[in-house]
Amino acid sequence: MLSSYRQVVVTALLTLWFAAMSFVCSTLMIGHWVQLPTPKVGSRQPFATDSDTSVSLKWRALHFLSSECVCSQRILKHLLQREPLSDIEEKIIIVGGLDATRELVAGSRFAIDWTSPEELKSKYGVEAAPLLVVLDSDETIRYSGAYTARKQAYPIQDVLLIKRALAGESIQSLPLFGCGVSGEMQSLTDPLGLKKKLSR
Amino acid sequence: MSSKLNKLVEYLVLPPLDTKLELSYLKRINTIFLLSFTAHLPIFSFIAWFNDTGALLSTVLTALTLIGPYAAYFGLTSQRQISVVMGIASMIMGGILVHIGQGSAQIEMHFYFFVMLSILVAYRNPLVIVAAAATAALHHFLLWAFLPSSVFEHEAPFWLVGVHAGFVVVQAIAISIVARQFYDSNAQLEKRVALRTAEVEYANCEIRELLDSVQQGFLKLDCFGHIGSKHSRAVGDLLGDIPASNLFADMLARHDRSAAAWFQMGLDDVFAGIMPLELTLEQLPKQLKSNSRYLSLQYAPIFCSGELTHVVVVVSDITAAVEREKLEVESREFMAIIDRIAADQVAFLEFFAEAECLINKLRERTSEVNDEIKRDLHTLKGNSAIFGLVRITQACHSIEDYIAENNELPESNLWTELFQAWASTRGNLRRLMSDTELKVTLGDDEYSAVLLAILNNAPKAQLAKRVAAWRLEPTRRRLESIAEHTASLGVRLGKGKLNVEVKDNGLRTDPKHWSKFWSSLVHAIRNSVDHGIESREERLRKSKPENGTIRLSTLIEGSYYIVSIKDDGRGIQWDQIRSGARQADLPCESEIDLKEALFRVGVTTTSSVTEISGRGVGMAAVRESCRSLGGTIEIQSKLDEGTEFRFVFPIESMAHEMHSLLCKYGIDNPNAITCDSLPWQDQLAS
Repeated sequence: MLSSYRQVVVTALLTLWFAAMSFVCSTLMIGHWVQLPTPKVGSRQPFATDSDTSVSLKWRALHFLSSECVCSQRILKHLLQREPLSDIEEKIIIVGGLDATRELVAGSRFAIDWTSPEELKSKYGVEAAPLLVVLDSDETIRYSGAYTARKQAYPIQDVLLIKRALAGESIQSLPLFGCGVSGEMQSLTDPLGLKKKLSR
Repeated sequence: MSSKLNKLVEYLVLPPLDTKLELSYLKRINTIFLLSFTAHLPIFSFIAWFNDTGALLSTVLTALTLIGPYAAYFGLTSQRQISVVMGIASMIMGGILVHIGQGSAQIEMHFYFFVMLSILVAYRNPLVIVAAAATAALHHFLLWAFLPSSVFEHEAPFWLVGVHAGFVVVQAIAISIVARQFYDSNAQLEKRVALRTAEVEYANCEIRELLDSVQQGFLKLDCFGHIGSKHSRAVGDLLGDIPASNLFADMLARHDRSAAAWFQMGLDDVFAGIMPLELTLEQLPKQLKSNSRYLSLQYAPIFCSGELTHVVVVVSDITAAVEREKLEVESREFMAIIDRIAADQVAFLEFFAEAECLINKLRERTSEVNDEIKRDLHTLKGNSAIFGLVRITQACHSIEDYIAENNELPESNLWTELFQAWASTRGNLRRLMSDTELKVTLGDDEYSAVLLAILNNAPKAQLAKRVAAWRLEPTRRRLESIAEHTASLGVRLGKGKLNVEVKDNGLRTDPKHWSKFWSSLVHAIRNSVDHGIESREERLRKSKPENGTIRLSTLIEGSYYIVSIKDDGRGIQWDQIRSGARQADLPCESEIDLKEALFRVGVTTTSSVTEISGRGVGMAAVRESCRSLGGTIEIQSKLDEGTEFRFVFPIESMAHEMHSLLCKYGIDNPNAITCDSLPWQDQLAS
């Protein structure tokens, strides 16, 4: 009697476990599968920046990264290993302000802009990271997309993409798979909030 | 369609577990999977930390995944059900790995699924693989349900998803078939093994029945004397349960401690390989007495690749054979008693009286060894041998052996053996006659002669001497008895047919007082034959006659009565006597010292002890009995020529009591009664 009761309890527990773990695994994988939205190429996007208007006459490359996103951290570490390009104004916009990220960028020659998820959407119209946007001197978007050809894979092609844009080539934007930054995108890519709560 | 589905279900769902082997195998595999999943926890955390994908997240997710295998392992009773849970868990673990392994190696992390699916074949259960594959499929379905575009957009067109799923499906089908065939062949193998095992068990059972039905105990020993696991039932019946130490020596020790020690030492020699195997096996104890049973021990070597590995011991109950042999010995003894009584009743009864006296002394022995006990035992042994009482001889010899080895008196069992043998002999004698009566038997001639002498008014002195002589014993009778024993000893000791010459000179002695001396004289005879007379070969080398000669005589020299034993052997080895005396801390400088040493207990000229001589006790007993009659011993010995022992007594001692009686009544020349050659018979007859 006790044995059959135990059997029922264990079976119920296992069923619950199976359902829960299938659900959790599936939600985790969405983050890897969902293609995140990016600003459209060719549109004129008047990015509000703190930059000097004289400087804004130059082409600009904006790196949108999140301090809470692993993919963004990988791109940030890559950028900090090189000097900003000379024939274009490069700027890193970081969402969130974790101490570890601030320590990482301290002393960098890149222009750094710190912002919040809400401000990123309202000010830049961007909801996901890591995102590379290249603007010409007319503020027309010449490139808007990911840094790598495959999901989170190497090589990181930022310099190549910027130079091809500067050369006037028509570049097909790479699909963005990464982290949702805005609340809406976060709900989509991390429905249970596990990554946000436990990744750091 | 339905039948095909049924066949598919039958193929995927295995029959119920029907062998312990399969159950044990599943338990083992489930344990291995559980442990390996547990090991995932630190490994996954490390990967997550290394990839910067959240070690905490990885730890939490892996721990949550482990709940399933642990709950199943400890909560479910069916090993098959547990294995299905393990299959599902393996796919969930894969999902976590792919997540925490994101980055350049994310695609490679997918190989985990394929590897795990293959490893799951170890369960030999297609259902486990199907469950695992279904879990992966469900995962993809849920992903699609959450985000349809994730599967079908950009990098994942429908055909690519098809290829993706196709590989998994093909692999799942293939390994399901492999798992099922693995199960089937294993089940067949198990059945075959079970069949063969049953055959072997049947054969074992038959052999066991054979072994257990015989009365002999069979067991196998290794080089340390450990008893093998298989032995016949009779081993327990004969020797008792196998001891906790599993040593055969300990088993023997319950019945005979000295035999056990002897066995253990002997077994070391057997496996040491220094001496010939046949010899070392021969030296192991062959017989054992357990309570009232006699057991024989036989040994057979077992070789493996030419090397001795074990010894088989065959234990047999030979009580019946031993009892039969005892009866035969008793029978032979009985016949010997009859012969002796027929030949010389007086001598036998004297021997018997003296032997009983010795037995009584031995019954009342002290608890410590002393020379008197040794002498008594030796005398009893020697005299019993003369009269053919083998059991008493052997019992005495066993006690002497024990005393010599341990320098203490043996426990009661050896004494009991001696006393039982004596009681049996005494009982046999009583069947024939009273063992206490000493009658005087007259022949017709003697009766007629004495009657006529009385009727003719023969002188009182002559008549008194004649009648007094009736109680005296002719020395010829004793000498002939000893001569017979001497000849028999010569044959037994390989000295050939000895020439034993007897010369009594018609003398007589008082049997009552001389019995002990005649008995002890046997020891001197035994020494002469065993140590004096050389072997035939040695005698031929010395240009002596092939067969030795021993002369036994009684004679009168002046006022002395002399008993002489003379041999033509090698003479006394005085160097050996000197050496023996030194070992016994006795003086050995002068000739007198050496002659004195010859008669001391423990001094011997030989290094080996036989049933005949060699303990250095016999000569001491001879001197003791000689001295008790007021006699002395003279020794004349020449190297390679021979030895003569002369026992010299005052002539009066030949019939001391009778001599005193005749003297009391004023009869002259009373010594004449001890000599046949006096001319009284003719006078009486006339």
